[in-house]
Amino acid sequence: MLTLVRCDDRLIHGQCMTVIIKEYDIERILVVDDFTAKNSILKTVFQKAMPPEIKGNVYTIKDSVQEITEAMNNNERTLLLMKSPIVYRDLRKEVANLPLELNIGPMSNRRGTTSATPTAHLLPQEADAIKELTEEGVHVYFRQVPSQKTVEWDEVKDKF
Amino acid sequence: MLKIIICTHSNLAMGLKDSVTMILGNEPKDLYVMPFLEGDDMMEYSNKLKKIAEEYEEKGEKYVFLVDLYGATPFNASAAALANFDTKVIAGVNLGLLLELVVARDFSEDYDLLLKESLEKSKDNMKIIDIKEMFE
Repeated sequence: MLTLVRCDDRLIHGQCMTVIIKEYDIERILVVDDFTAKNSILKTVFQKAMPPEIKGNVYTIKDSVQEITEAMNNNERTLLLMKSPIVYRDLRKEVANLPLELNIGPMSNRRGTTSATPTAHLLPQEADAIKELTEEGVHVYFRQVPSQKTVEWDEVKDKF
Repeated sequence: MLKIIICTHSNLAMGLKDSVTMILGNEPKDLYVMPFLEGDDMMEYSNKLKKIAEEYEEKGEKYVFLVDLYGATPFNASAAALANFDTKVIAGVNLGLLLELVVARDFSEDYDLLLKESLEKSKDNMKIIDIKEMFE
């Protein structure tokens, strides 16, 4: 099952490992990122630097389709993780019945970004992808960790 | 002498260096801090670490990267930076480990043994002390 679908532009890192995995009782992390999947060094780092009880795999969007479909049909608590909402928009065209909920975690302050929340900064094309997702009925919300207050897309959409 | 590069989330690396300096009474040589700061890009950070390592590799110097958390960004960036080199990273840096390494590297030629023993000593330094029992 897909327990959480999340965007975080650093993918797997300290916060993800220490808070998200525990709070959501995650057993598997399925990372979808073309750049990392095609870079053998980064792919190895992300796949190997995991606690022993967690399975982690990195796929390109194309290769992830079958893995995601399988994850949706088994009982393993899976975190679907990607760098940007653009990836989720594209994935929804490839995989039917994906969850109608997308959590935006930390997104760093990059060139050309606008801050949605103090810790989530979006490029114009990322904001556009969120608009498309919400029009399709996906609930998009901002929250780094479960203990924080949720910020809804509706509350920040006028910034974009 | 073994070069030490500390890579942490935010300013912990500077704090560790300050603490070691206070305890030893002077700033240790060949001890460098590379904090990963809010808003930094992982790949840019990793490339900076790679340049440092390449310089040591060219000179044939021994070095070790100390990172705060296994699997977190300073580790991921270090591992990616060092992928082509035969070197070591220690995850879980703390003051005990750093102090041990800084002091013991002057007396050690065996790099692997130095890292292993320093790690063991830093683990021994972590313990729960029952205060009630202590004063009984």
